[in-house]
Amino acid sequence: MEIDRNQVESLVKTEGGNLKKGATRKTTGQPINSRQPGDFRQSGDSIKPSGSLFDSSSIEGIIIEGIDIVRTFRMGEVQVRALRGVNVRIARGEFIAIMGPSGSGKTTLLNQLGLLDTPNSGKVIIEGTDTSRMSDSEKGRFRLHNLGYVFQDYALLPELNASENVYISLMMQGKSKTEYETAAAEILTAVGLGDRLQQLPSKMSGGQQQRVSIARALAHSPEVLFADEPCANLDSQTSKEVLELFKKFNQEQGQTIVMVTHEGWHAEYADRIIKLKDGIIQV
Amino acid sequence: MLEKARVSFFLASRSIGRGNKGITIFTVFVLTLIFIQLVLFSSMLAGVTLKFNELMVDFQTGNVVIEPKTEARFIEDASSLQKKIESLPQVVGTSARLKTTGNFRYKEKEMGTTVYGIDPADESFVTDLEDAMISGEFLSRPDRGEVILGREVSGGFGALMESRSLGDVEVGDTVELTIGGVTRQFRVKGIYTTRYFMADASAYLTRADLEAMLGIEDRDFAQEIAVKTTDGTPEYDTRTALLSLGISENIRTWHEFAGILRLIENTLGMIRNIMNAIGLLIAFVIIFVVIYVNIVNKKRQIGVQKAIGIEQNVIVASFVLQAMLYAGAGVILGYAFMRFGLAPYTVSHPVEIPLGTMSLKLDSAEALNRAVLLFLASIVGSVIPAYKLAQRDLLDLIWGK
Repeated sequence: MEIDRNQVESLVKTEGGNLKKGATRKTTGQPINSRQPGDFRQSGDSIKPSGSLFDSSSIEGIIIEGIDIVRTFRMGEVQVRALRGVNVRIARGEFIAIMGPSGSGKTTLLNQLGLLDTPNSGKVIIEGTDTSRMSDSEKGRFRLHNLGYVFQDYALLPELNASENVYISLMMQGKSKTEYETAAAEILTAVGLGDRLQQLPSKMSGGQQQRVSIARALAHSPEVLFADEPCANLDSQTSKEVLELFKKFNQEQGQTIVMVTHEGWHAEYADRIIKLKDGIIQV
Repeated sequence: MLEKARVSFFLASRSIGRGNKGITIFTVFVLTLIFIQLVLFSSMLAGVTLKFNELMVDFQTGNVVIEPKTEARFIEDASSLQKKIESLPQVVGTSARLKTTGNFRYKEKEMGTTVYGIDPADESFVTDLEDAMISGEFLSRPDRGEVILGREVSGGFGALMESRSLGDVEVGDTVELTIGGVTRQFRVKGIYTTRYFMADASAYLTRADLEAMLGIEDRDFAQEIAVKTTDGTPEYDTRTALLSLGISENIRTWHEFAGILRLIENTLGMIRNIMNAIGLLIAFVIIFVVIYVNIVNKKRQIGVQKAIGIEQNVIVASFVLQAMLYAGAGVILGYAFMRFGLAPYTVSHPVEIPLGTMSLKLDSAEALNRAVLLFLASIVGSVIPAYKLAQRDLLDLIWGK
């Protein structure tokens, strides 16, 4: 797939992982659902990225806003407060890394932002849509059209080959056979698996499976890609390849990415780092 | 709607095509057995019913029976009526019979039974009694003072109601018969069994002997004329043809004599329905277990499917479709086994039953009915576990909780 590198503006990261004020980068600039599968060439818009918590002056360009998110789990008789009133804003086109020690609430936060879980209180607003008012099936439809996921253990459907794993969500969207097959082939080619379309996950290496997983997450051109420790099961070299792939889609397509990681060098690929400890964002 | 069905079918077909072959083979095998079990009992019952019907027609009534007009005791001018009936192309033969009740005595034992007076030659065209002799010989037209007894009368030969019989009468023995106060001695010429206890509880004399005992010699009377038609002629058509000949006597088809057989058939039908219900319950439980195990193993996959936006009802439908495909394969294999295997085999190698030999009779309508029931069981058996699991919390599913 051809990528117009001239569309990508340089990114300047501050020490705290924040984008410098006034730095510009490409974003889609299109409303949700306006992109087409396989449409990986987008024009760039400038954004004003938020601070480590958020910058209230920069509502424009914000794609996800988490407001006072509280998530409590009950483990037997004990209540565990995984998130204790987290506020977060993520701008369109940002590559965010969520870091923190084990049990700090990284994955829990990702799950709230990615609509895989529902907070006990607080709100998640995506592209101006208050998702706390959505039913489960509405969330499902929202995820299908607007969000993509990459899981730690790839989470591919073992009975589907690479191409099928990628196009299943496009099929669900009602795309025609030609549309979804073409889109799957294009995105798999883009992640370097153009020659393994018919391969079953069981016949692939971990790195290849994670690439399929990324292709699946990106096939329907989601507004936000969520990745939960995508390199946890991969060796350093493969991890690097996967992270570079993320970076490529972030820079060249303006793909918003929210990634959980506990490796410092993984976070270096991100524009900004959100640090969590004991369910609270560390400033 | 269509795209949802398409995704469900896609997931189901991939799951079967690329999933665990052992589970697929096991499930289809079990469903095939269940379908066979559901159909087998019906086929056996149909075979037994057919046998009952054959026994009734072949050894007792023929296809149609002409009886005296209402309130008349005899059919008069029986031989000319026989000729008239035999003029019909579908009629193979007729037997004008005298029929009464008599009391047999042998040594100390007595027994009342139905006694027929027949023309042995005519009778051979209508019933297979001649072939049912298990001892001695069948009657011939010139015989006088000779009788053939059913095994339920003679006793022995595996009679079902031995204690009621005369007890071990053998060919050549002399029995005493009393009809309407007239007593005569008869030599037992033969003993027969049709294996149908009602037909075996009778005795046959020549018409001349019975006419003599009834005091109606040379009157050409009959109490019934049994009519045998060519195979496959509907009894209703024969009745219509007989009516068109201007016959004013009562015309009854063999079905009207089969009261006790219908009773037995209905009883067996009830047992069949109970067995079907049990079979379906077993099918339901097996499908439930297989699908449940299948689903539990795919908990995480279901979670992932939900996470990427596959709707819950699409996921549930994919499991229901899988179950239906399993059921479909089971039905096809089971039907093929019955239609092209077991049923033809029992035709070439009939099964021995107390009534004689029996072949399975596969009724396609019944098989279709069982197939529909099996499909319904597969739907219910898969919807419940699939729905229960797909409804669970997304993260619980993803984390395999």
